[in-house]
Amino acid sequence: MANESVPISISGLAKTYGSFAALKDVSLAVGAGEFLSVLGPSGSGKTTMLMMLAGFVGADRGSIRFGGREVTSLAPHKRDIGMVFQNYALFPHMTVGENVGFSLRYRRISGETASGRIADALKMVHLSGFEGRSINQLSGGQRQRVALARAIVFNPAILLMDEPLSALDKKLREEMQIELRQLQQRLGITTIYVTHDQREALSMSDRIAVMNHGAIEQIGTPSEIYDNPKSLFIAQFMGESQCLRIRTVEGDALLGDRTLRTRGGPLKFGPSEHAFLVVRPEKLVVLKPGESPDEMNVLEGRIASSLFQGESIVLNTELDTGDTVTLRIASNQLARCSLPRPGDRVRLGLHSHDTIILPD
Amino acid sequence: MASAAPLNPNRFWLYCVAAAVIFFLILPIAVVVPVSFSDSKYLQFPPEAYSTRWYESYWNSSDWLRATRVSLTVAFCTVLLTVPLGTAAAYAMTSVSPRAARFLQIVLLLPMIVPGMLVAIGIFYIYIRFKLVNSLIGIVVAHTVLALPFAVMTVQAALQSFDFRQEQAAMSLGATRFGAFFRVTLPQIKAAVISSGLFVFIISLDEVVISLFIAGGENTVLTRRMFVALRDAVDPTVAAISTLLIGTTLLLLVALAVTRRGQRG
Repeated sequence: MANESVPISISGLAKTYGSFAALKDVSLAVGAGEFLSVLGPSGSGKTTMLMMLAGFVGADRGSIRFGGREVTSLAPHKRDIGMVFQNYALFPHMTVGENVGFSLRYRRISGETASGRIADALKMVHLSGFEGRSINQLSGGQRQRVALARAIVFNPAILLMDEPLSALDKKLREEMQIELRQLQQRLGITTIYVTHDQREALSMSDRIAVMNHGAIEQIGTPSEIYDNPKSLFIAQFMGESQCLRIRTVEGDALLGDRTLRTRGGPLKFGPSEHAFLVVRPEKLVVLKPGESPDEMNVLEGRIASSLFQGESIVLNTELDTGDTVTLRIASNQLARCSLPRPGDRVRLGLHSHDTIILPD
Repeated sequence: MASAAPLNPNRFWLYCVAAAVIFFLILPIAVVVPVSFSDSKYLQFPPEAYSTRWYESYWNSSDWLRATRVSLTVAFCTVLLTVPLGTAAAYAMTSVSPRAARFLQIVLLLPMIVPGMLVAIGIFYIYIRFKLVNSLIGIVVAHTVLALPFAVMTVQAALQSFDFRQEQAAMSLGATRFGAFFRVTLPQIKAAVISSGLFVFIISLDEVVISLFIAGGENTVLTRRMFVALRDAVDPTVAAISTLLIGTTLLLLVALAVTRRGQRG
């Protein structure tokens, strides 16, 4: 009995505080029922955008539409959005039930219908029977669930979340990520999820919008963003990236004196332009002596140090070109047997499909 | 609570000063209360014989009782006017820019900074023009000006620890800004609002300087009536009334302490 989910469309949205442009001409379309994460460093404009969607911050320019409805200058209480705040913003002077049922009075739902709705919402977040508890008696995880129940009890068409899991410890956070995502899919509610945790965004989202300096720098599915970053900023923001400076000569990328094989055709760089090879630690493999597969770029060097991290082993390698790269190897018996030791010469392979070349 | 530190002999003079301060603070009360129970016709300390005749004299004087009624009415109306204004001002200062808030703060605290006599004279001249001298509404407004800084500061302290995202949450759930304030914010700063009311009541009840100028005639307040009584004829009734005032204030202070404790819990 959820409301029909609606698409969100933002066009040309801008907001300036004094001389600081918090948001510069942002346009974005979110599909009905889609889970979109907005990712970015602090000050990138992601929270400003969320506050504008909620109606707490007015736009200087641009428009916001929920479905066919123009909401750019609509008051927050008329927008019909569920919102989960970073610190939950629960009402400490009310019980769990009163918190969850807060919105129902404004929708003329009372008595048994209201208690039924509250019970249903609490059941969805696995807090059945918690109606009478006081907020102060709850753990962080339980508060998070109450905040979520409060935001969905009135079947809003849109759910906005502002770093809702950032206050939880790692284990609970990972559990909640799965639970939140399942709940969102079950309700089919259009969701915008602001976070600065790239792992969270990667594992939960249909699409991710990465923001920087008040603009959306790239938008795409998690794998598009991770495997095909459009800029050095994205490459460095998403996952661990090592950027090696390379030379570009007549459309070829050269690391040292080797030409790199890339997935696309010739590079579209001018001859004097700086470019970087982006290497992620898990994309590198140690090649057996003599092995040199066709699709691989081979980087030669010497192991500088090796670090055991439990689930993986990290090898720091000094390449013959003078660059340093780190590679990550799964920690299993097979890998351990052939593991090079510090001081050993190694040949590292990087698949051409994993070879990301980006301009400065 | 930290356990009491042992007396430090190096701080002998500090203890002496502290003892002197406490002594001089309590001294007037220690004199006034016994004098009020004296049997003598004059202010005499220590009294030779004790009686409650001056309390009876107060109770049987329509003049004194009218002044009491005026004082209580003024104090009550001042609370009714000051508390909503002070709460609104304190709230406003949290939602304007920091610069505007600093400016407002200074303006609101002006009555505390300017000497009472200057405020009194200023109000007196304005009231003559508007024919407000000796009117109930005039006294209430003047006391509101005087008490407002205290109300603002009390509520401001409570709002400092309030998380305004709760109001945003309430609005996202369907409450108007007004509704969010009344259902979410106000219940959580309730204790501070109540204690600001008690504070304002005490301030109005004890106020002398402005009342001397603008609270005469029909609407003579108790403090002014006492001042006049002391000037004309020294009468222990004043001591009896003072004792009653001290008692009332003490009661209000206890109530204040109780609400403060409730606020913390």
